Parts: sequence; C-alpha cells; structure tokens
Amino acid sequence: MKWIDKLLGRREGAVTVPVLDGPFLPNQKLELAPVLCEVDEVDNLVALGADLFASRGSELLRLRPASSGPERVTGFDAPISAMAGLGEALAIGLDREGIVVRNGRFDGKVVKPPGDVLQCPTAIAWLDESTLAVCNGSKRLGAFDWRRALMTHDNSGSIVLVDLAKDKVSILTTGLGWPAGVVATAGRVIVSECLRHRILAVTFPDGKSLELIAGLPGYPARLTRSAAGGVWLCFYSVRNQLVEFILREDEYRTRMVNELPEEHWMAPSLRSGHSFKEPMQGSQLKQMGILKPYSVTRSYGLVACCDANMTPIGSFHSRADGTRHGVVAAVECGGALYVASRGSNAVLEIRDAMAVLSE
Amino acid sequence: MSFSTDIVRWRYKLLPDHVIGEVLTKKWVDSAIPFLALTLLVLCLGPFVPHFFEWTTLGNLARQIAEFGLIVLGLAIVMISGGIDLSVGSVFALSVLMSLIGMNVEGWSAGTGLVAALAVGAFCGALNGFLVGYIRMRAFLTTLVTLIIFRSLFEIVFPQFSTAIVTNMSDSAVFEYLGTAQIGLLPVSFLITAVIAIGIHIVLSRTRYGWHLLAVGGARRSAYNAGINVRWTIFSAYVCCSTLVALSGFLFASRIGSAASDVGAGLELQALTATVLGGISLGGGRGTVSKATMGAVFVLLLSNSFLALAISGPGADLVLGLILVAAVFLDVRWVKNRHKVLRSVYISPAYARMPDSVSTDPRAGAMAPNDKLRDVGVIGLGILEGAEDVIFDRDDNLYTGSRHGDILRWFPPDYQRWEVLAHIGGSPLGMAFDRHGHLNICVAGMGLYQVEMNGTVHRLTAETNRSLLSIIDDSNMKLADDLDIAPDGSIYFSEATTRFEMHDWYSDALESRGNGRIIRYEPKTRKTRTVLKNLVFPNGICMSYDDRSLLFAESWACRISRYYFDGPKKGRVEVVIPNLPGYPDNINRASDGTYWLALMGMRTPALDLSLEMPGFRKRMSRRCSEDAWLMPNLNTGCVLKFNEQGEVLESYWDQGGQKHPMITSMREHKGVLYLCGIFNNRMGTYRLQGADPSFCGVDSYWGHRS
Repeated sequence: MKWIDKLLGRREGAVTVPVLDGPFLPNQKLELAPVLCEVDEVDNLVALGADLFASRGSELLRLRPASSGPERVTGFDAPISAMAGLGEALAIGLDREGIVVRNGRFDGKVVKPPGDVLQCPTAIAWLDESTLAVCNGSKRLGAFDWRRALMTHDNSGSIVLVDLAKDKVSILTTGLGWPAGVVATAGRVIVSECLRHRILAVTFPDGKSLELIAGLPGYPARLTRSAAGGVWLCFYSVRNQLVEFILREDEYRTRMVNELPEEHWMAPSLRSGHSFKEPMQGSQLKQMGILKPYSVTRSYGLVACCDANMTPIGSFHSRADGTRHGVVAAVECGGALYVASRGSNAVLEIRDAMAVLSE
Repeated sequence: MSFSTDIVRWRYKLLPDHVIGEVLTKKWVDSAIPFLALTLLVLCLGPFVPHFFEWTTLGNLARQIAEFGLIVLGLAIVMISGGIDLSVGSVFALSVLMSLIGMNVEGWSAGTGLVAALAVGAFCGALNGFLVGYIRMRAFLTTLVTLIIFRSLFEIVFPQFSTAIVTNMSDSAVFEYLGTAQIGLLPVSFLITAVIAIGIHIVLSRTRYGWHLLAVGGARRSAYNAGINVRWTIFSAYVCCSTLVALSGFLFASRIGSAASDVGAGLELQALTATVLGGISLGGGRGTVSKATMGAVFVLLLSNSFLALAISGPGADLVLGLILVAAVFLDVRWVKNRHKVLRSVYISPAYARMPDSVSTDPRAGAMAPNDKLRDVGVIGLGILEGAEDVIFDRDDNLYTGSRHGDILRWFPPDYQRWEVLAHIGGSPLGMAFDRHGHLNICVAGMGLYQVEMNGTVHRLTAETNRSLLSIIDDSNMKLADDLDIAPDGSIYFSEATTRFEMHDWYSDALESRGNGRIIRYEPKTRKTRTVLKNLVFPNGICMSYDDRSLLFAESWACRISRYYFDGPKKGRVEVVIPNLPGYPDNINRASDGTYWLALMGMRTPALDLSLEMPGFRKRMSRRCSEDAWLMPNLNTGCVLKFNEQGEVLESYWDQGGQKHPMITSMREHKGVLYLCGIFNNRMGTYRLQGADPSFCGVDSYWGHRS
C-alpha cells in the first residue's frame, strides 16, 4: 500500500503543507520590532530577575536593556546550546559536554553522564529546585544540527531527568524527532518535537506522552513561560512543500546530505539569501525588483503565543521578504518580550507583547 | 561514474519520454482512442463471427454504413453544437414513410420523392431547432417529446398506407438504382454518404459555419459575446441533422422498398452510442466526422455480429447500453482530466551532469564576487518594465523593449525623456541594428521583426523549416531570443526552446534538454533555415570579430560555444567556455575587442545535483506546485568579460541582487555599461574605467558613419 500512496501522492506520500492561517495569520510584527542589540550567533535568552542573559557561541552574555551592548559574563569550553534559570541559579547545556550549573545551591555542578545520554542538550527546564528536565536532541548529532537531523530522519531524541541533589540521570522518554523546547507544568513537561511538527505533554515519572497539537505549519523549537500564564513557542522556520517532497526522496536526500555543503542544502534554515549558491524556488524569483512576502521560503521568523493548554492564540511574523528569521529563543522580562533572531543576528524587543499581539 | 548512473544516463538518452507528452498535445489523440477500440473490436470479433471478412458481409455493411452513417453524422452535428437529438429514430420512420408513399403509392419520380422526404425531415428538424434554439427549451426533454410526437404521427399514418406500400412497387429506375446498384465494389448509397461526409468534414473544419458550430457548443456565452448568432446556429444544426436523417430514410426506402411498423425504433440508442463512442463529447464543442464514422462502424460491426451469432435483440441492446455507459464515463473523465494528464506527462526532464564550474571563490581572481554594480545609475525606474536588451544608434538614442510589447526610444544625454517607437505586442527580447539602420528584434512567441526608425514594423519571419521527425510542429517560433547580423546581412537568431512558451521558461530549465536551436534568416531570399538544433536553451548570440563565426550561449548548459558559418571550419561548433558558474544570457561586443556576457543567475549545488536525477525532477514537477520548484537561482547575476580564447577577464556583481537581481543583457556605449533585466523595473548604468569613450556598437559592426 505504501508504494501506491507514494505513486499517487496520497496519505504518507502527500506533500501538502499546512497554511499559515488562524492564529498563524502572517503579519509584520516581528519584522518591524525594534532591535535591543545586535549579537552575532545569538542564542538562548534567559531572564534571571531583571537581568537578561544570552549566549554567543561558548560565551555567556548579559544583555542590559537600554545599554550600549552585550556584556561578556563568562566563557565555556564548548558552545552553549541550552539555558534555563530558576531564582538565581542558571543551568547551562553545553554541546557534547552535558550540563553545568552556575549560582544557587548547586553552583559549579557538572553533569556529564557517559555515552550519548546528554551529549546533545537542546533545551532545559527546572522541574523543582533540584531537578532538571533536559531535551537531548539526538544520540548522534551535535546540539546545533537540527537540519541534519531533519534531513536524515533522525528520531533518537529523548527527554532526560537530572536530579542534581542525588546526581541521578534518568531517561523519561525516547524516540523523539529532535525535541527542541521544554517547559514544566504540574506533573508533566511540555515538549516541542521539532521534526514531527507537534507539541507533546510528557508526564513524569512514567514517561507517558500525549499529543497536544499536531500539524504545526513550522518546525517548533524553544518554549518559554509567558507572564500571562501561557507559553511562547518559537519556530526555527516554516515548512516548505519542496522540503516535504525531498524528505520522501531518499536518493536525492542522501546524496545531498553526503555531497553538498550544509549551507547549500535544500532544507529549512535559520537564515537565507546570504549566498548565491543557496537553492532558489519558483516564487522566490524577484519580479520588478521585489521578492513577494508570500513566496515559499526556507527561512522565516515566527513566534507564537499559546495559552496554558498550548492552544496557539496569536503570532509574530517576519515573512519571506524580511530578515528577522530563525527565531531561536524568546523570553519575557520586565514586561517586554525579547526575541533572538539568528537570521539577522539581533535581539528584538517587543514591549507589551500581548497588546501588540491583539492589535 | 558508477554503473547505476550510467544506466540512468542511457535510459534518458535512449528513451524519448518527451514524445509521449508531445503526442498528447495533438488534436488527433482524441480520435486515437475510438480508433483503438475499433481495431480491438475487429480483432476480437473477426475470428469468432462467421463470414466476418467476406465480400457479401462487407458489401452489406457498406450499405448499412451509408444509411446509419448519415444519421450519426447528423446527430454529431447537433452534439457538436452542444445539443442532443433523441428524435432521429422517429424522423427516420416518418421520412421512410413519406418516401414509400411518394414512390410506391403515388408513383412520383425519384427527385420529387427525395424532395418530399427531405422536406419532412427539414420540417421536423425545424420544429426541434425552433423549440431548442429560439424558445430555448432543454434539448433533451424537447427531443424526447418530439420523439413521441413524430412516432405517434407515423403510427397514425402508417396503417392507412401499409397495404398500398407493400402491394405497389416504385416505377422509378433511379430509385431502384440508388437501392441496389454498385460502382465497382462499392454501393452507390455508400458513395453518396462518403461524399456528404467529406463535405461535412470540410464545413466543420474549414468554414466559418463549422467554427461557429464548434464555438457555440464549446462555450455558448463566449460565442454569443464574440458576435455569433447562437440561436440561428443551434436552429440550423437541428435542421441539418433531421435532413440528413431524412436522406438516410430515403436511401433505406430505396434499398428495402417497403416498411414495417417498427422501422427506426431504437435507432436513437444506436446513434447515440456511436457518437459518444466515437469521442464526440456530450458537452459539445468537440467532435469530427472521422470520430462519428468510427463510432458508426463500431456499432454496426457489433450489432451485425450479434445477428450473426444469433444473440437476441434485447441482449444486443443490453450490451449496446452498457457500452454507451462506459463510453459516456470515459468521455466525461477524458474531457475533465485531459489537461491534467498532459501537464503531468509533458514535462520530461533529461539527464545532465554539470561540469565543475569556474571558481567564484573570493580569491579566485577574475570571477571573485564583488559589489561593483551595487551603486549604479538608474534609467526609467518604475517606467521600464522587463527590458531584456538595450541598443544604441549612432546618435546615442537608446532603444529597449518592454513587457507590454513596446519598443521604447530614450533620448540622450540623460535618458529621462522617452517615446514609444513602435508597438509590436509579444515580448521584445534581443535587438540588433543592420547595415541600413533598421532595428531587428526577436519577439517571444512571434518571431523575428524589424522596426524602421520611423516606427514602421515589418515581420521578417515567423516560420522555419519543420524537422522531419519532430512530433510537435516546430516550424513556428515559440521563443525567439537573441540575434546578431553577419557581415553579409543574414540574421542569425536563437530560439531558446521549441517545447514551451516564454512564460513556461522554468519548465524548460527543469527539463534541461536540448530543446532549442539557432536559425538563419536571409533578407535577400527571405528564406529561413534552422542551422543548429538540440541546443540547451540557446540564448545570447554575438558575431565574432573574425567575421566567419558567431558565439552563442546555452543557458542551462552553462557554456559558450562558437559556430562557424563561413571559412574552412564552416558548419563546425567549438566550445569556448564549458563551465560557467552561472546561466549565460546575452553576449555583446566590448570596446577593447573582447565580449561582455551577462549571467542571469548562478548555479546552485542543490539544483546541479538534481540535474543528475531526471526522475526526481519529474516527480517534483508533478507533486509540488510551481511556486516551490527548484529553479536556477536567478536572484543574483553578474556581468563578465571574456576574450576570443574563452578566458574570463573580469566580473561585475551585485551580490544579493539588491538593484539588479537578474541581468539578462548589457551593452557598452561610449564608456558606459548599460544593464538590463527581463524581470526588473529599471535599467542600470555603470561607468567603465579606461573604456573607449567613443565606442558605439553599430560602428563596430558596420563601420563609422560615412
């Protein structure tokens, strides 16, 4: 039956993509948002009290609103791939190096279990003062290799519980397609499963998972709590019909992954239009000097606001003709929403985000 | 290269997939299905039915075809006009009755009898036509009602004459001749029908009335809006139909010489089956005489075979009905899905393995990317739309085309004032001045045109010799692209593709097959000949300085070649630059004896890889919308300069394509380089360092003004 579906383009073989509609109706609110500061390779926004922290490669930065620029706090041996704060404690995930904690009760603690259990931390959430839930994106890949994970159909991601007090690491659930974001709620964690375009709720300690939303129009990534009691949901990019097609074309996909440089893949991306060797799709051709905002695209800027039940209620966009693409982190701090856009290497500031959302 | 890629390469080299799609574009494909059905029927029935291929059977069949064929032709005319006539059986019965009354009972001459029979038919048809065409009643219901009315008339009149008809015989020798005589092996009645069929074919396919019928049937409202008298056309179709049926009745009467009370009963089912089976669409607007004839032969063969096999009447009707249902089903599906099938089959990508390109590494020298074209002067921002090429005359006037089909003239010195020199329509692409100062232009979809400086437009050529083996008609020109003029005045121009229209250029890119050609037009003899075929989107053409060869660009193959049209190497093609990093467009002369080349876009590794996988591209074209197709990256282009040996000397870029995303042409004039883009809304000017400040392209070709 599978080959019939493939031949006729039905069910599994269909390459349809959900449209941006309803709460995902496109706007220019992210594109037009003011810039707080520009940071190359910005990642991981965390608010500790009134302070806003970000990462740049292996450096931890403090971003001071209304100041001249980012201030380097400290550096690590490996690139920072995840961060979460609780009180004044900061849990930091390092690519292929596990977890370290700074400040608080467990200051200086290093969690580095042997093997591939925590080698790819993509997101961290504090469950309580001494327990962390960590997304391990993949058993094989590094913490920034989500595109490779997508194009190789990786589904070796897992959720790991780390008990800092007892130094115990346990795997909550496995077989996920690049879990890239996690927030904790009572008795369960909410996880974004990037490659399957869905949000899961995983109860602990039994690890049962429940699908909260499926069929998202993009690749869901980091999750953070919003001040209004909901969740901010970041997207790496939106889905693209040609990518869906290539995911079903094994020969082309394998050769592309093996033979071409990653930045020239026909795959979703955090940024695009920086090299003339990047692939171009039909509607991306500039007409009369203009790139249509509604053209298909490999990179896109999208942050959605969800309520406490993870139902999306609105979103901020930077469309195909924009630059604020590749939203890797969002956090609310002092009444404003801060958004890290890798596509333009900038941290954006949206004051009174809920009001802007409902405009 | 591995064995499996060799297999892929040879498979796409040897099996011409594109032929299937091209066959499907042909109008005669519609007739191919009934023809196949007919052949299949003959092959299936022939061995089983006794005397199937004997002369007497065939002679008998020919007479039946003569009568039944006329009815089917009549019904076909009505159906082509978008209607239906169910009353053919009753009209047939009435006209048989009229003929027999006239010939047998009253003893009229054959001429009088024929006129009377035809008059009955014409009257019945006029009634149908009046009700359907002028009163605008539903054809189906109306003719169902007249079917009953005419039948009742027949049954009222027939008993009063039945004895007289049977006991008397016609005295007319002509009447008897019609019914029984043969010319050679063929019955006379068959020849009459054949002549009428040919006549109807000519009317339908070659005359205004036939086109009106097809137009009314195809799109009634559009036909009305186009000024066609829809009501009269429909009325006349019914009259034609019933008159043909009456003629058929007359021939029948002459052959049988008597009638039974069930004459013509059930004829409408047979006739309808024949037309639909022949492929005459129930929706109207589609149908030919050949289809109707094939349908008629099919039905007659079938019903005769049933007789020969001693299958009962009701059984035969059942089979006929089932066939009608199947034919209607096929008709509906075919008409609805034909363009979909065509669309998914027509594009047939070829195997292409791109050579490693000239490096565009920042340290690579001549091809290193830069942003020299970022800050250029602008001409016609927002006014110029789609200037593919530009050219200057000796008085510094600038000429360019626009996507609206105009040739614009811009005036020096600042090129702010402009006028429309001529309106051609089509999309003007490449331009060149000839010795006499006339502007020669390639116009997409139209051919090669010439504009004089007073604005007069001449068509030079729009047709070349047709290739022997091409299935699509490649004598007309779909996408004349760029031209240049040899010293003897003959014009060489490229036609980028013979398979796609200009707006479908990306489909040709997806195929990357040698669909294009170079054509020569000789003004003296006005002859047009194709000189080079199977080129991969031939685009820019430029005369070499040696006066015996020309340089041409093949866009999707990313190469520049030289074609010798004269001298010892005449007819040969040599590759000059085999591996450009982008897709070459126009080539023009530079002031220092070298050439300018526009790269309209750059190669991308993802697309280059897909060129080795034709199957992948084919599936992509079927599965994904065109908006999402992988295409050549035409958002960043550049201009480069190369010499006779094919060495790239320098390059000018606008990375990211902020001002000039897609550069399709450039022209050097008096120290300034002018940049064009077919999808751009402006023209750029770039002042060249150290270029000849008096260089004018026209002088380079035809010498200085004397």
